Amino acid sequence: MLHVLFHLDDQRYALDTGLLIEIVPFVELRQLPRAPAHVAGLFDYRGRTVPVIDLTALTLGRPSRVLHSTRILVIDHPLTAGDSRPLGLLAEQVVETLKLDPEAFTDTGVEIPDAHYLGRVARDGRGLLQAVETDALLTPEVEALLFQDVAACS
Amino acid sequence: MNKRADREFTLDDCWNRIGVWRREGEPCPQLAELMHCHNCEVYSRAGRRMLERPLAESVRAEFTRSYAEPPAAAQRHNRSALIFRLGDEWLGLNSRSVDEITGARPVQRLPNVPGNLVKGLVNLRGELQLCVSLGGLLGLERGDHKPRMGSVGIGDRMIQVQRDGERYVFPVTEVHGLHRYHDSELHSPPATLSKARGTYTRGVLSWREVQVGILDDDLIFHSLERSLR
Repeated sequence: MLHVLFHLDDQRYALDTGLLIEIVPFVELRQLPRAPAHVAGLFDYRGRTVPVIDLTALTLGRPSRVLHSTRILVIDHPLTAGDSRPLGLLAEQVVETLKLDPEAFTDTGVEIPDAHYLGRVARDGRGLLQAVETDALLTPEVEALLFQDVAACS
Repeated sequence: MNKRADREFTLDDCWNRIGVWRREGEPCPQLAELMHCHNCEVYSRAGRRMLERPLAESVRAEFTRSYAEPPAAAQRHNRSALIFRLGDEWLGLNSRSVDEITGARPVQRLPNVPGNLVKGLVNLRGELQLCVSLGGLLGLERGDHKPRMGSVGIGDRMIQVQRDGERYVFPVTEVHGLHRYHDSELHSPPATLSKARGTYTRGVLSWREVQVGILDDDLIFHSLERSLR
């Protein structure tokens, strides 16, 4: 499985490219006042309005820096109500991909209550890296906030 | 933060300073194994560090604009055809089937081959290929073979098509080039088309002022294979 790597400070994380639609530069975002701090905003993605979650803000409590290597990973996010929507994940140092076997990942044995999305770990020549589980990324409240139209239908 | 910015500006470009041409000093010991700086971790790490630069406002605005646009025209076109003229007819063939286009070559006729399908053998890059008549297969009338006024492309060409190792060469009057289109642009072939031609035509495409018959390459390969067995 191909993974795209990103960094949270000095730590490396991996996202399975199976759900990935496209990697987009850090475009200007339309802010959403009063939204949780890790909701970076909305952007116009080829005519669709796509919400962006800042993984740096979500995990480290500071916003991603505006650098060339900070990018938006647009994934096809499956919703709990069925169906799926594009969702942007803003992350720093998105400059590498890595092929990793699913078997290479092992459970950490540690469960951080506020970070269920940080999943299993794998190792390569440079050390350990941790997988990000996108299905555990949004709390039901945040998902309802970002995908109002779906919430209204269900 | 400041430390990071400092590192960026003190980038040691050893690939320029020493490098594969050894501009100064001793050759890099890594080169014996890596062959070229392009394969070196120092080089790729420096490249990654270049991406640690701040994203300029103007560049960011440009990105924002370009990603807000609907998908590029290229994505709306899902097919590509090689457009060529055979006598008076403009035809198109799935560009994936096309191997090569060459100038006209002499055709070595084969004795005792009946029918109007096989023209003979041609020498392409030292290999003998079977030269067939596409017009014969499609049942086209022989048109005037002079390039016409206002036509594009250049005179006589041979097109080599290939699929699953099956190769055929056929001469055409002129080749325009590749044209991208979308399935929805194809109209059904007019009923007045001769039966043989209608069978081999997947659809008709309006291109410039002419109608281009897009050929069904599956069927053409299948028929050629069957009739030449």
